[in-house]
Amino acid sequence: MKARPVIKQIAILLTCLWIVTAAWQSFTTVPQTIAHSLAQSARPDRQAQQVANLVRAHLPLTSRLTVLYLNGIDGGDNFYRVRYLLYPLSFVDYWSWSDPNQGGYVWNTPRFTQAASLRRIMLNRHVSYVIAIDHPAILRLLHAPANGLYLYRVQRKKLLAGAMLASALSLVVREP
Amino acid sequence: MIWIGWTLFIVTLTAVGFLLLRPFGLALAERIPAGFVAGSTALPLLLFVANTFWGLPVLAQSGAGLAFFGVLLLALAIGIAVEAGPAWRGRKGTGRSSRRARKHESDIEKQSILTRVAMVALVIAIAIFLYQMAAGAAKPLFGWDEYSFWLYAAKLITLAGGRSTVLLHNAYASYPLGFPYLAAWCYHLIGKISIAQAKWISPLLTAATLLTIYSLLIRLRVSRLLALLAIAITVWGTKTLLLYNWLAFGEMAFMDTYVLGVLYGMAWLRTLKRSDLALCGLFLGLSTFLRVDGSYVAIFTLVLLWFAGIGATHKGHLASWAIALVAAALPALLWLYFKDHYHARAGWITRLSWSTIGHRLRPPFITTVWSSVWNTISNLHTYPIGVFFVILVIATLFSRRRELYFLCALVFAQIAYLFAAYMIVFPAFQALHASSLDRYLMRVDPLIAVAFVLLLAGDPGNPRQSVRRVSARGRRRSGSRQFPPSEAESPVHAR
Repeated sequence: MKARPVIKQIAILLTCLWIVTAAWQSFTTVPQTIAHSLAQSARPDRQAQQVANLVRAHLPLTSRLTVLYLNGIDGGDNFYRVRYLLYPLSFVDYWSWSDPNQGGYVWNTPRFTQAASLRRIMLNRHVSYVIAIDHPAILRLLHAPANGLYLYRVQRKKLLAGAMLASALSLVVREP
Repeated sequence: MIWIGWTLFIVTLTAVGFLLLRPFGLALAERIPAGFVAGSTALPLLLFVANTFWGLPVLAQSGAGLAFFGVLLLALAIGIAVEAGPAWRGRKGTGRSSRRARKHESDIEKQSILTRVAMVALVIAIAIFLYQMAAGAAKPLFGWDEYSFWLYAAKLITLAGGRSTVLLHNAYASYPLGFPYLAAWCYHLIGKISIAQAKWISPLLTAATLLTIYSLLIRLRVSRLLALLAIAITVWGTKTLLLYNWLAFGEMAFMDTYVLGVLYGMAWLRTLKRSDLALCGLFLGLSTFLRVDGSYVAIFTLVLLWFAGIGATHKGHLASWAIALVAAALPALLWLYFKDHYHARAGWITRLSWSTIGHRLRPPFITTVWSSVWNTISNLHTYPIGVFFVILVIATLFSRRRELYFLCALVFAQIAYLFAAYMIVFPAFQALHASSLDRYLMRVDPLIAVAFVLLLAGDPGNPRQSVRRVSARGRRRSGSRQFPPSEAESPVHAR
């Protein structure tokens, strides 16, 4: 370093100073970035919290349990927030490579509004519980008496025996 | 159990790369990290070829899969034993001489206290970056692309036992399978499919790349302080480098491999050794198996390298150019053949149509896209490296040094290429916001950092040099049959 011109020495010194400052500042900025990103990815609103509380009270949170969460909207925040809150519970996706949809409302696609299709999903994906909320079209399909939040257990044997969809679901809990 | 898997993962990749880099005569400090980066694409390429063209069940949980794994391990073990045995035995001699040489160098350099303090500060800053990278990788945070394609593809490949055709009918069929195979290899060895585990792949790759850059700069006779400075400017010069290491995005693997390719090209301009040119071709070629447009990027990089090397090359280098071109083209050609064979030839080229290009070339679109690009690039809060680039460009205009011209021109070419890509093949919405530009800019960051450091280090052929450089130059002159005169000297010789 001795033989270098002064300008180069100054450049190296300034760069070192800047790097040390940047490294030191990262201790405050990096946790902020992570917190910001996490907050964006899952900020539970009241409804998501309500669904999560209900499910948590009745089901163990393991990845071996698969639930079908019918809230009527694919890609909506509610679905992902609930899913995040209930991690590592397995969820059936509204969208998959084998069954893509256009996104948005799924209650007007046959895959989620026809009993036969729902039945197929429940059997193929080994769904053990169904959470249904909010949407009249879906709730009507499950013979839910009124609008609200429902948690059903799927009776797989009955489904395999060919029972009606609504009669193969037994109500675990309901919140108005 | 997971630790065994991770150890195997690192060891197998490093071993493959280590054996691959055998002909280039690198020192261990450079060969091991560079081997890890090279192996991270070479082994996936091998798995891909073994499955596609030889029909081997590379990741299957069956007897055949286990047999493949056993044979691979055995081959690697034999290769390493044959290769490393003599090197290990001869290690003492070379180690001592290199240590002596280093001591000699440091005697000449006479490090001042200021230099030592600066070096310690830089090491601490780099350690903080590595810590932040690890801390971020341990957080439950992920990006959309990795979730929807890179790691999804890895999951499918793992579940299908390494079958390369499972992804053919998906939306992303045109994407080469380098990174998915790499993550699938990780899943296969650790025995589970988990995003949280896959997130550690890119921090490992980045750390290996940084080590390689450091060793390469030391080999190019740049002082240790400046080599550390290059690493520190690289890691703190671009905020997205930290971010995308957390996101385990497939882009990181591309960036690491591509940057090493470019830097070996730069090394060739400085040393004029054929092995450096071949290494450049090798890494650029491997990078084409990691991104859909990797081959286009490799092509214009090699063209710029050719321009920068005009006059420095002599006839003997044509053969090494041929080797570099073949190495660069091979993975891309294999991938093209695969897609052709299965009639899945989708890609960026197929999205081009004259009418869409014609629509986009109207002034409002161009200006909006360019202003979005400029907004991103000129954000010095996110890209402090921009300051270095401005200094570098001004200094390069007054210098007559090939490697600086090459690196600066490559940075401009990359930005021009990205702009053209936004104008032509990206979806209009993405283009108007220049979204995703941040991840593509990572690949120019190490180039600027290294070029800046080379600027400070000076030209080995320049007469106004420190004592060490003069002695290096003297050595070069005495061996001038091997090395043609460098660019700075050639006009003198001509007169």
